[in-house]
Amino acid sequence: MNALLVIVLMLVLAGVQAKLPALAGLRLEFLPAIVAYSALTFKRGRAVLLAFAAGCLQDALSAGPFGVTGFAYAIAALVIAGLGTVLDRNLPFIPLLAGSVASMAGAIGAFCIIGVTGVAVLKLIGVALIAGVITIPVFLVVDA
Amino acid sequence: MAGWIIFIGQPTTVATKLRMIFVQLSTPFVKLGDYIPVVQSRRELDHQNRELRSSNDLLRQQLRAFDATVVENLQLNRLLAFKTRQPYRTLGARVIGRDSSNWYKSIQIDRGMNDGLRNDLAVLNADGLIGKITGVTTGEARVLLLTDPACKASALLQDSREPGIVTGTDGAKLQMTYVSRHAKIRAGEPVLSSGLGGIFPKGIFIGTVSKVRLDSQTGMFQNLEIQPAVDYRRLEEVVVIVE
Repeated sequence: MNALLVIVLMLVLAGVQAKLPALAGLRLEFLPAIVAYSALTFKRGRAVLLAFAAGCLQDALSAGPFGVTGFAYAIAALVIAGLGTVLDRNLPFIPLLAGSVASMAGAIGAFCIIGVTGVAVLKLIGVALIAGVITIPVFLVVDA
Repeated sequence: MAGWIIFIGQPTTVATKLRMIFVQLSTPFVKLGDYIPVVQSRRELDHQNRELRSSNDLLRQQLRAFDATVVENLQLNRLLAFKTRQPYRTLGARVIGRDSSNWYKSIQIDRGMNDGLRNDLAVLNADGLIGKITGVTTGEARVLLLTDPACKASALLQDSREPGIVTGTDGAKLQMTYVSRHAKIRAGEPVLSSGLGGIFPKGIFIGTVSKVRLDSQTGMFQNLEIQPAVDYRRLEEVVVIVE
């Protein structure tokens, strides 16, 4: 049931993500929150599958090569799920950190395509921070 | 009886006084009588007020819709005039989405394979060059904007005829690289597509030169900062050059 809710939420947030205005030039990313939630909630296999689907959804709505973000999110889910066994997901900074890690993984995937510049690294930090902050309410909503 | 009637009907002092008494006696009732129709009219007024408010809201909505239609009509007329001027076979499309990622700059249009679109077709509007198609499905296509660093267009300075490559940057401006260091370029000079490369046809307006500087790494070329002609944040309708 929870996985179904996450899938529905993933589809809704992916659709909303492209429509929302950018914040100081940075587009709000919701899908890393889904990746973080899946990794810290579900079994590893399901979490990786959901993360891959979230990344593919992101790629489908972007000009990036299809699957790159999916691959990056899947790896992020693997890492977060691995650490999840020793982390307490109820602490607020854990979702923040997990969301940021997922966002950074997506960005690193994109860097493999577009290359790295100083501006892009600064952007990565901003985007990861915003994604981390967004992750906290996503955890609260889905858990509720 | 007739005498009484004649007496009362006359403007005598007694008649006047009698009239005054009757008036004073009847005044409260008249006021009461007046009050009842006022209550009715207030209800009517409230009703009318509500109706007028709702019709006012409706009219304001219609006016807004009308304004939007006028703007859209102007845009479409402009696009149509532009389309008919083009010697190429073109296809109009609406922008239905933007890039959901922070790392690419693209838009989604409502035409796809079913309309004969394929990768590497040039997309433009009445203002200038927008980008190229990089992904197509049956009913939609993804257009990589010229502001994306991955999108490159062979370009030409209109007055000096100096060639170069226009690409996107991390910001809102474009840059033109590989321009000869000996070329004399002035700010405000228009930049057009050169037609080389096989994707963008020759002569499409890209923007104007806003800054000129020597390439700091090699010193062999000039790098130009280009102010794009197109406002990439406000794209609504575009034209795809099909042939």
